[in-house]
Amino acid sequence: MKIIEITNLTKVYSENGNEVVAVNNVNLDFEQGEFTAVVGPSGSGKTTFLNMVGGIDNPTEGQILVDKVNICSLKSSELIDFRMNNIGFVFQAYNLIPVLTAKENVEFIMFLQNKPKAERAKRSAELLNAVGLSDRMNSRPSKLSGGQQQRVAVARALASRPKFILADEPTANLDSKSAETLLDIMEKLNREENITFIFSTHDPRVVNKARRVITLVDGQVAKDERNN
Amino acid sequence: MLILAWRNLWRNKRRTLITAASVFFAVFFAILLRGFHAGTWSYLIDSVLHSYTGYIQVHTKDFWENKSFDYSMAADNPALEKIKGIKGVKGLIPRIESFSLASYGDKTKGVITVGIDPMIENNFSALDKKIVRGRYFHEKDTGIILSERLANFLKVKVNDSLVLLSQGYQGASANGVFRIIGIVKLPAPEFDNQMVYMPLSAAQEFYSMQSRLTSVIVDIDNPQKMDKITKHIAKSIDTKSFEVMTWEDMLVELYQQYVSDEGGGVIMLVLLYIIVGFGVFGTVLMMISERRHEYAIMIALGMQRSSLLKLVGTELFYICFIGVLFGTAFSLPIITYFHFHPLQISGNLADVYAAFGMEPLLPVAWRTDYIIQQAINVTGIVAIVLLYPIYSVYKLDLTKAIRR
Ligand SMILES: Nc1ncnc2c1ncn2[C@@H]1O[C@H](COP(=O)(O)OP(=O)(O)OP(=O)(O)O)[C@@H](O)[C@H]1O
Ligand SMILES: [Mg+2]
Repeated sequence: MKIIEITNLTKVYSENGNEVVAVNNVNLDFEQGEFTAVVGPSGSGKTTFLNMVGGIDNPTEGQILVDKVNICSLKSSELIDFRMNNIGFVFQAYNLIPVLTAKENVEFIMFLQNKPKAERAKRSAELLNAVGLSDRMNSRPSKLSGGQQQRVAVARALASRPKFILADEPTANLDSKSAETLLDIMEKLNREENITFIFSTHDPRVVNKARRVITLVDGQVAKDERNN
Repeated sequence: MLILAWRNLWRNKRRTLITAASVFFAVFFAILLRGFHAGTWSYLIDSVLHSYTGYIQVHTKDFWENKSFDYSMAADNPALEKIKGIKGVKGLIPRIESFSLASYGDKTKGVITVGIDPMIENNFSALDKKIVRGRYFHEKDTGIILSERLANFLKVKVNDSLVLLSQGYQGASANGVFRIIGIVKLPAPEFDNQMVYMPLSAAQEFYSMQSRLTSVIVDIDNPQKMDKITKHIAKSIDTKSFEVMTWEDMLVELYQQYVSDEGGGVIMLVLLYIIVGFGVFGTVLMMISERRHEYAIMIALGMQRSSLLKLVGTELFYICFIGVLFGTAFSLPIITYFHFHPLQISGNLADVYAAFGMEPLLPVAWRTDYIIQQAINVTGIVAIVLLYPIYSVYKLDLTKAIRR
């Protein structure tokens, strides 16, 4: 089942007179359950691409259908609700809200959705367990390592059962061991729970874990390979 | 959400405390300042009004303008009964006010003669306490009491006889010789220069206006309700035949002094609050610029900008609330203490007070209005300062703030 359909996606930034085409006429579809890496040299448009797919940035041209909903046509407050209900995010660093504990961070979106307390508690316990952090539930982010913080971020992204999870360089600030642990967790969630991940990375070892690899060069899709 | 705001508050303890402290000092000083200011003025006004016009007077229409007996009223006028029944009215104090020429020996001077009911008037103005020589009226007295400066000017003593010359009701001539039974010292020099008191009955006889009055002072239980009661009176009597005036209309000069001094006090407070406002603004500025990334992530995750704004607003509110709470809590005991134990003034200022016939006290008003006003002022500042977060939260560029 196709959950994301992208046609003619283009983003042009104009900064003091210069036009930069960050994403150039991209056409791509994503299926439910895919585990996709977006790679490419620095400045190739990975972040811009993911931000547009996540509805954080709006395209200059083209459209993005998420489950047949054209997210480019939503009003900004509708788009925020759409993100809350349908899309999970893991950012590169400083993902978590510093004054909330790991558990509260995971519950943040469910809290925005007004989910009952008992449900929130159950789900956050379940997810923190899944990312191997049951024992750090009540720690503030500053007491967690970078790798642990990213695992909490993954748990948080999953909390509202989104249609897919976008992760822009989730391992960029991690040492290789933590990066590997994080990827293993993501991969396991993908395999066992059929959760769709799209993540960007520079790290070849991370790329190796992906089952689909999209290579961007100068904002265009240079390669789109599937292994296994 | 409230927890989130509360915890955010303590992220930068020092900044929060400094901001709250600045609000604290503003509220604290504002309350003290207002308390002393309002206290001094209400003490002054109260003493002046109690020895002269009272807070509210009712006359036949146009009396105040003309000061003529043509505009007098019958003492048993039913309208007066109506006024007595109004809530907040303690009682009515009847008077006959007019001008006369007073002469003794070779000295002559225009004076204000006031016919008063000795008992009722005294309950209101405690005129007997202001007696410096001689005595106050007995029940059926026919003598007169002079103000001190007037007595000095005329060079009269107690028991001397003073000639008064005036015009009575409906053109009747009014002249008589009155024995001076006492001398009073009045607060305001302008009154102390020219007041002659006589019992109401003597005045009625003198002016040939049996059972008529020129003015009725409406004694009220709470000066702060003056405007309300005035309106109430105006509504319940026929304003085509009566005029209802407050001291502000009657003692225009004093009122203007009060207003301009009030203005000075307000300007000081405005300055105080502007300084505090900038302090709070600085805090908000730093808070938001430090948290751009975090705010962007919250919005990306699905928090509406309006909810985020509520979060920021709540935090700001907490800070200011702490300041207001402590500012009020610390100033209340002080103003309460000085309200019940007014400061004694000494030195030159004490002489000034004494010259006005007032005890040299610096009382503090204890009223909720100016205390609540400070909380309202701070809320106003918060509302203005919040414009910045409103602007920046709605303008926040997610992609840039997340990338940082
Ligand atoms: N807000 C912006 N304003 C102007 N130009 C921008 C903006 N954001 C990105 N760009 C430009 O768009 C291009 C693509 O940037 P983008 O961040 O998407 O690349 P990237 O593949 O994520 O790079 P990296 O691997 O370094 O994260 C770059 O040339 C960048 O300079
Ligand atoms: Mg990038």
